[in-house]
Formats: sequence, structure tokens, C-alpha cells
Amino acid sequence: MVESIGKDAWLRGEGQDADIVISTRVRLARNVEGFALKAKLAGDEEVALVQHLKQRIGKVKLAEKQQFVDLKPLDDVERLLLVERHLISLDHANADSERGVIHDDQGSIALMLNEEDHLRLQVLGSGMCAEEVFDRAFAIEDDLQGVVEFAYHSRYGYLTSCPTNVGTGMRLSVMMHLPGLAFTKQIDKVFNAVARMNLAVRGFYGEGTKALSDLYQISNQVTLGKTPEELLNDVRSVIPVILRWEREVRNQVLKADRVGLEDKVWRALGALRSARTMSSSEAFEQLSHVRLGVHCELIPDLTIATLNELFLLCQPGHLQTVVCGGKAIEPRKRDIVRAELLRSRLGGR
Amino acid sequence: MNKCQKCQKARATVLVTDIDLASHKPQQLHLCEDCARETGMAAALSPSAADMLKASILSVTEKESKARSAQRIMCEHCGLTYQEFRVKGRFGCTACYDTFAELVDPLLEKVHGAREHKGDPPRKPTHRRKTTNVAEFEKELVELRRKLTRAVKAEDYEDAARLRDRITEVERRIGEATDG
Ligand SMILES: [Zn+2]
Ligand SMILES: [Zn+2]
Repeated sequence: MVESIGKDAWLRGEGQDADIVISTRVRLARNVEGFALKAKLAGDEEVALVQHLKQRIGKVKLAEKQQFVDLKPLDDVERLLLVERHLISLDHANADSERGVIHDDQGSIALMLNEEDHLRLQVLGSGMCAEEVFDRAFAIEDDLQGVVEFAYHSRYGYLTSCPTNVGTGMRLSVMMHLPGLAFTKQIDKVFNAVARMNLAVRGFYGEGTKALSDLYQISNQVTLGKTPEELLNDVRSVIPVILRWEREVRNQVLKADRVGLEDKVWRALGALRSARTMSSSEAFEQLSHVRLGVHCELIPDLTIATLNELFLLCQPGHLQTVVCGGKAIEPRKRDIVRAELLRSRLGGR
Repeated sequence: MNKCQKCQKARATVLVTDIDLASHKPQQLHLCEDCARETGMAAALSPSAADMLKASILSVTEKESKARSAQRIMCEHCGLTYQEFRVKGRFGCTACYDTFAELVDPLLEKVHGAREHKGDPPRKPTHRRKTTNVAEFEKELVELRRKLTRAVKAEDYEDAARLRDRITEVERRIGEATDG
């Protein structure tokens, strides 16, 4: 697994509007006809379900290279690594049932087996690429329908464990980096716009819930009563508005207080290049500022891909795998190792 | 302007939905971003789907249970009771959607603002479904494979050959059941 670290396609910082949109993801929830849903699935039935899906999906070519990972024998660090790569959910990692994931070598496609639903199919891409991930996910789903019979109700559509996912079973989410709007306390504009469209915003907090890395995820709130295409269009229609606001705010700040912004981003880079201990929440906060600096062309010689990679490497699973060879280490030691890693990657001393 | 319900100073921009443990009633808090962060309401900037569901189940089931003795409903396919669903918010089998239809419809209306799916049905029509024993077959397959491994280890080749035949047979039947 170590060779694929930091190499996943969604990290590249490529694609449309990659200065603000980190990644786009679509997820389809499906259940297999003939098996009980998760809440009433007995242990031996779980083994049979995973076996069934693994064997069936094995017949379908999802990508150039694909592999099945049995989650049960993995240790905590290995599971965390998959969570941080967005290949499995935290719940999937922490469960103790029979379960697995089938994913491609690019980290773009992941099929979680026996998650909250029997199958959670996910396609992930770099930048704003809603149409691409949408088309790819439904193409894969179509192929899977040739080998697996999904539970479908003539009135309710695709049936799911939880009624919040029923119908299309689709959740499209766009991860955005909005330091400008957050910095100028205008993020409520985003909330209002998004709420009007029946969409949801989520924020991401670091360890200890102190620092906000200015990352926000916009996704469709409902899954029923609209076609997948309509849901896609709902999400797609609001993103350009948010992008425009974020860019406007950045320009305003640059005009009004260029030195203030320069000070903020260079101080952040200074901290990353010099600190001897660095918690993940501080790392996220400082990286977020530096990322803004790179986009406003205040900091030369650093790429978004590098920063995206560092966001990932600073998380506990990656840190412990890359630097500590997969051994779990205590948080205090982690902070020291994290600071060392950041100094060496960012040309500090 | 909406003031933050915690610090009473800053402007509230975050809506946090939570279930009050004492009253079992959903409550919504308008907080400023700093207070939301401080209370550790991670990922709660919009009410999460799970929160919305909990709140909706509560409001729907309250009305329902007054109307009639909904509590007695149980899914005969998986044994899930109305009470279990109320607590977990998860169904036990696909038949549950029909078993609890009277509850499902108002619930879906609350959560999605709709009661019916819109979109293409699966490529294969579901009416030709053979009541699939896939789960049973797959369970047998797991057991057979386990036995086969043991037989091979014990160098009991007669038994192994017999098990292999049975595995082929079961795999064929799973194929029939799902390929149609
Ligand atoms: Zn406050
Ligand atoms: Zn049931």
C-alpha cells in the first residue's frame, strides 16, 4: 500500500477550478436483492454477502487495475490510511463485521462492501468534475447490474438501509477550499445560497475541533423525488456562484490589504518551515493559508499538488505509514514527526 | 440579525440540529462559527441527514402513534419492530418499506419533500425476479469452501473432489438465480 501514498488522482490539483475545488465525489448506495439489510444481516450472511459481491464484481472490469482489500485482518493504521485516501468511510473502518473494499490503483473508484448498505459505489476526481464522476459512476453501476440484482421498489426506487438515501441512492459532493469567504466572515452567504437549493454544507474540523481548515463540502441533501440528472444539476448550478464570491473576496482583500494577506500567508509558511512540533489541526490551518497564498500568487515555487499531498500526509494514518513504517505512535511523538516532515518538504531547516 | 444562542454576541451562521436527550425532542441551535467549533459540533454546519432523519422520525411517529397502535407493527420478513426502527432509523430488509408504508410515506415527505422515486428503473425488469435464495446458496458456498480447504489439508482427495462438484453446482445455481 505504501507505494500508492500521495499518488491518488484526486490529489493532483488538476481539473477545472482546482484552485478552489479540491475534489468532486459521487456515491451510489445499493443493496442486493435476496439478502437482509445491514441491521438484520447475521454474521454468516455477511460473509456470504461479501463473498457474493466480491465474486460477482470480480467479473466486471472497473479500471485498468483493481483489487479487493479485506478490511478485517488490517490493523488500525492501515484502515486509517484507506479512510484518509477516501476509499472507505470511517464507519466502515471502525466496524468489526465482515467487510471489504474493491478499488482501482488511481484511488478514483472505490466499492465498499457491506457498509451501511451492501454496496457503496464511489467515484472521486480532482477539481470540479461533477459530470465526469457522475457518468463514470453510472456506467459502472450499469455494468454491475449485469451481474448483481439490486433491490428496487417500483415506487421508492433503490432501497437503502436508511430512508435518507432511498430513491436514487446518490450523493454528489464537492469539496471546496474557501479561505477568503471564511477569513472575511462571509461564509453565511454560502449557507444561505446552498439552503435555498436544498443542498447541504459541511465543515471539516481538525483533531481537537479547534482549527478549521476552511474546507467545505457541498452536497445534495435529498435523494428522492428528483432524477440523478436533476440532482447533478442542482449541485452544479450553485458551485459557480460560490466560486465567483470566493474569487471576488480574494481580489478585494488583495486590493484593500495586500500586506496584511502577505503577512498571514508568509507567517504560515514560516511556521511550517520552522516549527518543532505541529498538531494536525495547526498544520491544516497553516497549510490552508499557504494554499491561499499560492493561489493569490504571493508565494512562488510551491504547487497545489504539493500542498494537497501535505494535507494528506499530515493526517495520522498517512503520517504513521510514511514516516513510521506503519507503526502506531503516540500523538506527542506524531506532532514532532509531522513538524519534521513539513520542514523537509517545504525547504525549512 | 440572528444572534448566536451561546455567546449572544456574534451573528449566528450555523444551524445545529440535535436531539435533546431529556425531552427526546429535536432542538435547533443557531450558533456563530466560533461557538459551533468550540462545542465540537464537527461536521454539523448543516443539519446532517442523520439528524434530520431522527427529528423526522420523532415528529412523524408521534402523530402516528396517537392515531392508532402503530407500535404493534412488526416486519414478518426480518422481525424488525416499529420501536427498533424508531431507535435506529434503519430498516432490516427490503420488505420493511412495504410493511411500514404508512410510516414511510410521511417520513419521506419530511426528509425529501417527495414520496416517489423519479428516474430510470434498473436495466433488468424486477418482476421476473425468482425469489432468490442467493443468500442461502452463498452461505452454503462459504461453508463448502471452508470444508474443501480442510479436506485438502487432510489430503482427503475423495472428499475434496465431492466438495468441488458441489461448489460448481451451487455456483451454477447462483448464476441462474441472478442472471435470469
Ligand atoms: Zn457564539
Ligand atoms: Zn423487514
